[in-house]
Amino acid sequence: MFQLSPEIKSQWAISGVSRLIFFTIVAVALEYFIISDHIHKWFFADYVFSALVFTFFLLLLFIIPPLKYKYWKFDVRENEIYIERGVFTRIHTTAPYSRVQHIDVIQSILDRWLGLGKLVIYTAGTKGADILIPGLPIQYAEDLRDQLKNYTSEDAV
Amino acid sequence: MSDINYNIHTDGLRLSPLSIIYQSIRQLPGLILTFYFAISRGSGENWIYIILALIYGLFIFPITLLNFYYFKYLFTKDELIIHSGILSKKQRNIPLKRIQNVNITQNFIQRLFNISKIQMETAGDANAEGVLDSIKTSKANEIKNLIKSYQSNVPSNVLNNLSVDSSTLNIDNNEILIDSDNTQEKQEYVNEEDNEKELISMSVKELIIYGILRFRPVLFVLVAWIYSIGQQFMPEDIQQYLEDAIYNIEEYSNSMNWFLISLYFIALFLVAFILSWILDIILTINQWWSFKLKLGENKLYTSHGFLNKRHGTIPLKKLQMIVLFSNVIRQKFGYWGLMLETAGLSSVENRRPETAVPFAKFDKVIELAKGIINFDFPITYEQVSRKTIRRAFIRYFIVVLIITAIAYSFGLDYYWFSLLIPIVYFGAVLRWQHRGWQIQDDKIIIKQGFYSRRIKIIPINKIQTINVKRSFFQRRLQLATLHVDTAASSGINDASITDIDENDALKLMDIISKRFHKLN
Repeated sequence: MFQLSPEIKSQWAISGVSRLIFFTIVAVALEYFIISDHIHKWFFADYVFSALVFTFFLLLLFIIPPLKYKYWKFDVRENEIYIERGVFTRIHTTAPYSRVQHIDVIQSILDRWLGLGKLVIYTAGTKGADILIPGLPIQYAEDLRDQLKNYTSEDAV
Repeated sequence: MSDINYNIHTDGLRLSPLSIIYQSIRQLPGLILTFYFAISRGSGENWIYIILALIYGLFIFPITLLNFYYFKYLFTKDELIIHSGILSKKQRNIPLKRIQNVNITQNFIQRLFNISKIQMETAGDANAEGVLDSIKTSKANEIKNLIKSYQSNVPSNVLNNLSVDSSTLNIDNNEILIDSDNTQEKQEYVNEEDNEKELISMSVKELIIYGILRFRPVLFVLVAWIYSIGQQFMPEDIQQYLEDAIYNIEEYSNSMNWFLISLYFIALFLVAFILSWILDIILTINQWWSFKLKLGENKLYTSHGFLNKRHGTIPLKKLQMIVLFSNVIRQKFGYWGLMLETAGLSSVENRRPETAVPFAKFDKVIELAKGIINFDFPITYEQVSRKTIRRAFIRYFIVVLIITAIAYSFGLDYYWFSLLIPIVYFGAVLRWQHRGWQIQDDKIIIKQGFYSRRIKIIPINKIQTINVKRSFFQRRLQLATLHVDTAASSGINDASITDIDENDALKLMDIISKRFHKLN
């Protein structure tokens, strides 16, 4: 079993920060425009609700990335790819190579800064059909793609 | 042999001119509604309705006309080319060999004009879908036969004609594809039709029994649908009407005793039930009128419908899963149905699994199913974990709590809802009892449902990915859900075994994946 590159944690943390900012703004807006008229007078002091939302997401920021990293594992087996992931809901997936329709390596801006890449494996399935492995060193992702490419078949239905 | 030497704007074929009338008729309800609002509400400040009506009236019909004018299709040696678009032009090339399903449908209006809609579905990328709405019914059948003979690899006269010279395909705009005076070709179609073996058909008697035993909440859905439309267009009127009705009922019921009220209530329920029942029977007869299932070369053909005629093709090569379905009552009488899930494109409108048999005796359905996929019908199933009762009960209980809370907030006698708790527990037990699974050499069989029952048979060599999922709550009970993903495109039949022991699930995943590799 392989683990992802540890840099992925900082990437998850960064997306956590954007989530933190987004939900805090939503909470403040909610409180300012809607809740303040009806509820806070007997329920909350001013902006306690926003502060709670802020702390919640701040905590998640520190808790989630290490846990996610800990549980994200994958294995390149003889004839299938195997993945284990999930903090709250644990998911195990195997995808036989003979089912691979095509493979992409995707690199976002964050990925480029960290020298990472995502490998996306598309199958013809319908539910959870596309398998995404984030946080691979870009060179490794491209090698893996080239290696798996040999298995892709035209008519994998 | 070159088939590119044509100019699409002179050579392509148009849809049937009658389709203009058909499309205009289809726009009518919208048009009428807009004008209704323009007239009834469009005074004073509500001039917006008038403007909407004007836009609608001034543009819709010309757009229909232009759409017709710019829509052209052409069959070349091995491609269907469709040009469309008024301002932004679109060209779509569909290789004939990639067409999986050909569906011809005809609704009531189309039947009056003797035109049909033909849908050619591929399993490839989302852009390769061909819909001709609408062309002459005879042309639609010719196209279907053309594709059929192209794919059966027997180079017929039609194909030879096609490959020799693409221009013979469209010499005459009235006679699409093939010259009709070429009787030899006609003959061949007839022969091909004869090659199809009829597997099953439904008599009128069976049709009526099906309708009687179907028990769908048709009336409820219909009322909800009408209500939602009303809500969208005239919320105030509906609100007013409901308030008046509730007020009247309250007034009225105050003058009666509890016995009378409950009598009225039961009577109302019975009337609704019977109405719904009759409606369901009528709808069923209309939907499945003169149902036929035929076997062609590697394909099944279905046809049915009274007002709306439907012809379907089921490519057996692309079969992903077969599903036996019934409900509690139909099963008591020994009737089942058979659905086939094929790999296709899910973006096609109303993509549903093809019903190979809507309603037949169990033995007949099993015989047919075994003809399609070789499997042993399980006598006993492995049961899922008993702990699933607990999970289901908690979920149902939360629903009961919410209903009770709502009742409480309306000041009703909420404690009556505690009676639901044993019922709900019983439901959870029934749900557990009717779930089961079995793994055979090369098939997975999953059974589920107390009221509406389904038995899904998935060939292991059709699996795409295998997943084991354990949610937070499942992990506390050491449970897991095993899900085998196939390319079945409808998304209605989900192939998963919910709530089995987590170690078993992981072992099963291993076993299935080993068998998959042995089979492929």
